[in-house]
Amino acid sequence: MKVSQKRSLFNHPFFVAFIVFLLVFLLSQYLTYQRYLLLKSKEQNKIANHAIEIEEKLQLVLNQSFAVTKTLGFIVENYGIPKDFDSIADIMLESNKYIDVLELVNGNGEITHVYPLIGNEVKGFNILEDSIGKSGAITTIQRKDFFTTGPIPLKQGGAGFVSRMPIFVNDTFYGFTAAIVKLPTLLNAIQIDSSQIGPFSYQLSKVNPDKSESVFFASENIAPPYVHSTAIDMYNAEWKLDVISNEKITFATVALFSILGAVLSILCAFLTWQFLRLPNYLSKMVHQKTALLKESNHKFKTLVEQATDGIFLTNQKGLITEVNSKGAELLGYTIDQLLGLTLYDIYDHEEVKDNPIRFKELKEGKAILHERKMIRKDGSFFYGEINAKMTPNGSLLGILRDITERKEARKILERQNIELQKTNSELDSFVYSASHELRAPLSSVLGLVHIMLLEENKPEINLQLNMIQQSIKRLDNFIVDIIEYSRNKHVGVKVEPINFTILIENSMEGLWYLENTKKLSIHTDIKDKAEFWSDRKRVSILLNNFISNAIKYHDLNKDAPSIWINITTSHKEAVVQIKDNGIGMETEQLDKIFDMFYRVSSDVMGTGIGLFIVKEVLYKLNGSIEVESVLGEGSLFTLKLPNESNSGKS
Amino acid sequence: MNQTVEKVRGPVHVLLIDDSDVDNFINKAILSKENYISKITIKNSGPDALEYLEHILEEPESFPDLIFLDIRMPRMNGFEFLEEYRNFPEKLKAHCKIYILSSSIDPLDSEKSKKYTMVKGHLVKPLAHYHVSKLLLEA
Repeated sequence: MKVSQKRSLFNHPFFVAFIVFLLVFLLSQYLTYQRYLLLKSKEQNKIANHAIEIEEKLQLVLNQSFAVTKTLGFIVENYGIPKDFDSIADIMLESNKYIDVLELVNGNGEITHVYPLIGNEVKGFNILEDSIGKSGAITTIQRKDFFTTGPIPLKQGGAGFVSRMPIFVNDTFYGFTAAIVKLPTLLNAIQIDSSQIGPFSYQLSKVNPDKSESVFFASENIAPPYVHSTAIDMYNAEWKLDVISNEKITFATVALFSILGAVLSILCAFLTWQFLRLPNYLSKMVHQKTALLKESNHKFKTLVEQATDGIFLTNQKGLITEVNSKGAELLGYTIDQLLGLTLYDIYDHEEVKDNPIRFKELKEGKAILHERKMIRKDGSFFYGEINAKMTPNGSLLGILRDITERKEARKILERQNIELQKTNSELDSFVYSASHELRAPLSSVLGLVHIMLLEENKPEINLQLNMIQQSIKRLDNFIVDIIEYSRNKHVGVKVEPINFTILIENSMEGLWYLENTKKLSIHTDIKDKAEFWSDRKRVSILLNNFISNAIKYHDLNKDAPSIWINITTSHKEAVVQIKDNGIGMETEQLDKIFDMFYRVSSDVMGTGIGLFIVKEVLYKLNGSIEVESVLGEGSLFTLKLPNESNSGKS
Repeated sequence: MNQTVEKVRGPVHVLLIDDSDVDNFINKAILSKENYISKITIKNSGPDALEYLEHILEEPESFPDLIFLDIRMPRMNGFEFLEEYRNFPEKLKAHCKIYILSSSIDPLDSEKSKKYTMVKGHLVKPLAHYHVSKLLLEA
């Protein structure tokens, strides 16, 4: 268990990447450190070498001081104080360039001779009594040897080094010879300059007896803390010179190297992570896709199994290779029984002879939808609808649906349709018979009455004959209305061009029997620029009704029944306005006038069916009607009939 | 008006073809009021009428000028009669006007009668509502 965990940890790309990072980082930092050390030791060497150079130069200065004081001391010891001190001193200074001033000091510490005197007005000054100069002088006496003190502030101004050589005559202290090297001279001698910018900086300091240091000179821009420096301690002197490297770049170089190492380690770690992660990622993807595939496969199987249609796969010869349970159920087999059978086993043999299986078309990629008589295992049959096509892998897919019910329903529908057509034609012939056989005797009676009216001249008989005529006409009209209603119901609309003028004339002729027809004055205004197409018979039914109503319901108080017919046609519709000056209607009546058997007035002969038929006809013609009426003034009917010119001509 | 008809047509011979005796009586009574009508022949069926017309084939002056034809008749209806009549010589037919006179208001009948060019019109009974002289003068 532990092992596997370990392995899994090492398998983890992030962990490995971290290890790589750590290793590279440590290595790079170690190398940086090594490089740092190398640079450091190089720098130290450089400084040490330089320090030696400077030391040699200092040594030269001190040597001159030693030589001058020793020589002068020798002269004083052996020959006494020379009278021509100035000329001797001048010769000595001439040959020892670094010495600025030569002095002689007597046993009491008083300065007796100074060369050059100009600028060094210190003659008679007692150094043993001076707080600053005293310590160096005393040290010299105690050591009984050459000693250089400094740098110290000089009595004559400025700072400098004072080298003294004690003079003993017969072992008794006699005085000093002193050589003064002023600070600028020394600095010049060792070739350092405060303003100079070079690879090194310098600091000159005096070491006090209490070990503290006081700085007398320093280069500008010394970066403290000085990383690389070395101190030059001169023997029998009480000062030291620090040599400091100006090579600050070392640190930056090293730091850069260190940063580069860090970046490199991160890069290595990242690359490692990416590299290790890839197989993991791929295997994860494969896993996911496999799961998806499994799921979709499962879904697909469920879909196929739960389909309400039979689904078959066969090879190109019709051998069944796969079938779903619905397919087996439809045919009364189990799935296993069906596998291995061919389409010839489940199709009706006779039908296959007449209508062979169209393998060729299927192989060409056509989808075929057809019906087949299917044979079940027990020999019974049903009608199936089969939707067949070839799948991309070359097998044939068939989807089978039992359409026995549909087929039977269709048969019933067909039978009902035939019956309906029969009923319709029976109705047609009934209407035809009615129009003939009911109307024939009536028209005969009308004819007879007409003859009698022509022959008889007795007014009372004529009155009765007229009443007979009106009654018969009323019955006849009713029959006509019923026939028209019946025809409108089941005869199709027949579209042809309409000539309103002729229709109105015909209508007037047909209304001969009405008492007041001859009195009617009719004003027509027909603007039929656009040819109007509609069903002529039906349009004439509409006009007949409105014109006869205008005559029947005329106002007896007015001179003459008048009717104004305004017709305007357009490509869209015909607007027919029929206005009369009849008795008019009350507003409440307007809603009812289109009802069957509704009559406005019992005074007027009518069947109450006229406007009902108008409504039915308008419905058939997709027309509309509006009524305005004022009781006692008249009525205005506005009809709108669609122009069927397009459907008529095509 | 009547004089005009006489001038144009001369004496008019009318043939009535109808199975209804009552209607024949009525129509004869009405037609006999018109003084330009010189002769009214009545036939009760299509075959009778055809036989009559064939019989007078050789006498063009006896051929009727006007025929009123009923549609609904036993044995042979009006349209069947027209199919036979079609075969008569053009010369005779040119002077004879045929009107359907029926109690039918069925538009199918009037549509059908329009197919026969020799039929000048479709009238609905009774005949009294029409002016016979007008019918004669119409083209």
